[in-house]
Amino acid sequence: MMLRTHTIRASANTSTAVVWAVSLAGSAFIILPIVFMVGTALKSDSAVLSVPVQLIPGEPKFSNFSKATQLIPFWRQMANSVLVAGMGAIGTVLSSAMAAYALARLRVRGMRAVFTIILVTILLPSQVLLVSQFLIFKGLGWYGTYLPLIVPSWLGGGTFNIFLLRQYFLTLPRELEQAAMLDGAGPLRTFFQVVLPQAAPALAAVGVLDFVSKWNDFLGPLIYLNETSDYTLPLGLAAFRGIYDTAWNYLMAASLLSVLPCVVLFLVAQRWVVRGFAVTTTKG
Amino acid sequence: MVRQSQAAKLSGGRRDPLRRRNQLVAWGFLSPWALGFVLFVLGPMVLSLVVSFTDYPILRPAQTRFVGLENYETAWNDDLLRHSLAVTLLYTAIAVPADLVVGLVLALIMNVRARGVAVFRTVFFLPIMISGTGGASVAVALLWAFVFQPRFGLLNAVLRFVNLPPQLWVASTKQVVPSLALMSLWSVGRSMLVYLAGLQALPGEVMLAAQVDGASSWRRFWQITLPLLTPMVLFNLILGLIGALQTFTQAYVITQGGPRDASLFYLIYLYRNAFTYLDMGYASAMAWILFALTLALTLLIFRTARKWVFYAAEPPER
Amino acid sequence: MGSSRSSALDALGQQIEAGVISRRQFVVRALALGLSATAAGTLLAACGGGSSNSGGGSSGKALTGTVQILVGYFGTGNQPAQAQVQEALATAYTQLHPGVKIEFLRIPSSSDAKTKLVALSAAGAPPDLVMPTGIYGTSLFLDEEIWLNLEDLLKRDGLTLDPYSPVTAVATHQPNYYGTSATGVVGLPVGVNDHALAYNPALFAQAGLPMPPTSWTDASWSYEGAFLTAAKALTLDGRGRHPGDAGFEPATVKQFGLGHFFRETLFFAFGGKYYDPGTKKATMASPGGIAGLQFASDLVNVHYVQPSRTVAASLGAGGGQGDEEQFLWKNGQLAMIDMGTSDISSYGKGAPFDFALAPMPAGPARRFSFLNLDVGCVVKASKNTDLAWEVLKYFSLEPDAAKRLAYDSYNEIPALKQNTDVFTSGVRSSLPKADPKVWIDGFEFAGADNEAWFPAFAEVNTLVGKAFDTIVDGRPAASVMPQLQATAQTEIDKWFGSHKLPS
Repeated sequence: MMLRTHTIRASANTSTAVVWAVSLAGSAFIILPIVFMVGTALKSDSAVLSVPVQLIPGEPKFSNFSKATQLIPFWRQMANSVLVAGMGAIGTVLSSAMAAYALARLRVRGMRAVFTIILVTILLPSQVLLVSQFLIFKGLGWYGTYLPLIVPSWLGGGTFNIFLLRQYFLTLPRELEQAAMLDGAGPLRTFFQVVLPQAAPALAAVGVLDFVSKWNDFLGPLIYLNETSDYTLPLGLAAFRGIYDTAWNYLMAASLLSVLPCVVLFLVAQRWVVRGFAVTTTKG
Repeated sequence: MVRQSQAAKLSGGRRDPLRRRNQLVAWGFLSPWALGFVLFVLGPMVLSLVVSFTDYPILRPAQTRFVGLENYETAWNDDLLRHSLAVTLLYTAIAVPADLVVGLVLALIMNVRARGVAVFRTVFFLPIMISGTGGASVAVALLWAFVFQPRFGLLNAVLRFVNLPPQLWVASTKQVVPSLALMSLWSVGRSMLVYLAGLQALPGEVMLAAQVDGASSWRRFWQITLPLLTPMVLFNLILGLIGALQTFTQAYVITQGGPRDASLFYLIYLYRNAFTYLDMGYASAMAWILFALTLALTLLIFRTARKWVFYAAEPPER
Repeated sequence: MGSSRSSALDALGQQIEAGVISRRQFVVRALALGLSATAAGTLLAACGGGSSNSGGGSSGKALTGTVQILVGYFGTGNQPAQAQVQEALATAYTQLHPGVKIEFLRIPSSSDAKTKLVALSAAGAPPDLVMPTGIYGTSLFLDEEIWLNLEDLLKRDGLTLDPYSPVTAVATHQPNYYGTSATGVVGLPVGVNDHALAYNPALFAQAGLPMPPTSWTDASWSYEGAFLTAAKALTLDGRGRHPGDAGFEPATVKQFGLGHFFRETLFFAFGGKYYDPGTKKATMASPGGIAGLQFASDLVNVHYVQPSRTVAASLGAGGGQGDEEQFLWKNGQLAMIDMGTSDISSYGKGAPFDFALAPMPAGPARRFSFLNLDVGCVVKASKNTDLAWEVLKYFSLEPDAAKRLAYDSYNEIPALKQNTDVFTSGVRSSLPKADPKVWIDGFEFAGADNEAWFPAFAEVNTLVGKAFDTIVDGRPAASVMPQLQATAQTEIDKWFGSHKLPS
């Protein structure tokens, strides 16, 4: 007998109809803004400010994309974003995995306290520490560099990630690690060669999500970056809006180009991300 | 030599050197986090606490004065702070339940084994791909700024298409907070995914047994599915709450706290105090107040959670 | 003939004093102007040809270093066309002084630029110059001692503010902070603007109205008189009815008589004042102030000649960032609009029709027009103040550079007296129906009242903005203004509790 899923159904037909109706309505809500974004990016200057509003313009101007990337130093800023987000994500994955491993496997005094501290830190909004962190980074002499944006990730990147990865590590069977240690591998080697590969889905999830989050970070770069040539994409987009108030078409074109890398990354890593996400949250 | 101590590790005997070694290893693995915690979390927290007891003129630091609890007193009497708290809590009260419910409904719908459902799931996940799980990014905020535009934007175009009157959305003092909540619903994919994972991890035997027993699907949902999903609900609730209380980017990019301070979220007001009025002491006090509030709310939820969250291994408390 | 040569010689004299040109360049140009070699030599000696007294003249020590200029502090200066001119000037300067590099730190959003300035200053790495800063911009952080008082440098180099238009000198000092004698100088003027009333002549003709006068002393053109009459005649609802006609429907108005008009203009024209330095009291709730704001509110809510904020938002094209009414103007839906000389490039030339200019109407107390002055300021904490000062002098005092910066880049009236013609001829050639004389004559009535510093400047300005918003949204001015005055007074008293006015 097939296990029926738990949708609320009276009869097969109405339930299929309900499923389709809700799915389509919901998808429309999600997709329409995206289509609108693409359509606006392709509108000419007059089409953008004309009524009635067209979703997709009759005469798409693909040249908007290249023009938009000239109005701000787009490619430079994208390269900067790749650097910051990439370096940050790698650091996050490594350092949070290490901390998570310690909390999951190594049962020693004080771990509980550490764990509680980590949980409480999740509650801290980052803007709260903005001013004080600024003063500390200034004291370290890191002002005007990428260091304030990258180094914190390498030193315990994201308490939430630690929590997630710990959940995942708890699900891994201990036998492989024990076998490795019997073979003479030290803890670090065991960690890198045995544990991490097993946790690949969760690590991918953490890495991708952290990359996207750093890609979109706005306040940090605003405060710490000095030279326009160092700017990341969110700053560039905000700058766009500051200069061209109603140039929605170029703004959407630039925005579209700036989100593409993250979308591509997600699609490539999708299966891993979903799996990693799912496993860690169900064991919560 | 080495093998002997490792064998001892496995057998659990000879605790002392084992423990110390494990201790060292554990702290070794934790050291990056620990260093970061002290430098970038604990340090700033203490510093901001200290600053909240001063009047710290950031551009003339030599003229810092110690003012004791004056900043907190001012906060207590500050109407605008109360207002910003009200705005933030209103937004939270709309956005979080909406996200919880809509996410659940969508997950239930998506949990059919039909061809093409995967496409829908990807669609709902698109906003997360674009803006991350943080819920807002500059690009998305700019997109929605145009979506909300009264004359040339998407939403009013849709309304006009179905012959409904166009709205002011973020240009209206009354509609701005609900509009921003609507925008947050665009990212419902995150909580939907969590629920989906939960649904797919439901213990098959229990469900099968209930079905065999002849329980109606409605009853199955309320008495079995939902209780088993409560950990997911708790997870999404906490994350959603914390995120909503910390709303900043959307308001900063789209409305700058307006119109007429109608969308003056707490963090926007904090930012204004820090960088327009250069009142770092007051801004730090505000930060600590928010932290205390978030902590209190979270503890409250955890306390009540014992009553309604059902972990598969334990019987529910009554 | 003679006067133009002597003014050219004046310019040369300033240039050699400012160390902008070398002695050889001076002699070459003086000769080109028709001076004899002897006369040129005498003049050179009299102007102190560049070696000792002008802090770094060309034949003295060479200038080296980097100067960083923050652009965007006042929300303008970063459009590509504007930036291009600035870069070209920077290159020109480096050609004159090869050891000097000028960099621009461009932050397009004004609030982000302010955050940046604070962050940089707090981090000990401030920019050297901030340019352009309006008066409001300098007032914002004046009491944080961010700006270098240029008085001493001016004296050291033997310079005065005489080369600039007289109006700029008053606004360049910051009364109340530097004391009633106001000798401190916050920045060197680059561009100056005032505001006039631009109108759409076609709409006036359609309504059968006489064109407004062009004289600032014509008493009939007053707010409560001809102006209001015209505005009502120019406002049309969906069925072509005017405010005051039977059956007029405010909700269907498709053409407004007035838009993008500042309530602060009315506040001052009716006799309002923010602050009295003598008594250290907030004075917003004077009868004139209350009457002015009530009139502003009535324009929207009683006479319906100006769109409310929500109506403008629903008809505009921006993201609610304040340009909605300019959009209506360009679409021919607004008959009269406040237009400053710096607005010409955005909605003056951008309008698809030829607009004309009228003076600001007279209020019961005075005729008032905003005076906006863009200055370049030296940041006090900069590591490079001397070099920054040299660069600032170039951008502000070197006639050609100053002209290009003020007019080509900032699109404003150049502050240097000798460069004003550039503006007048530019307007005459590009705007057929707009008479630049209206703007020039307006300076007599223009004031920086709304931007000049008073204690707790940032806090009080926010309070004022909010209060004025509520009045224009419909609350009676007679009840809001006293409240505003009281809360403003609290802030001002608090300020005096933790600061001191320099004497």
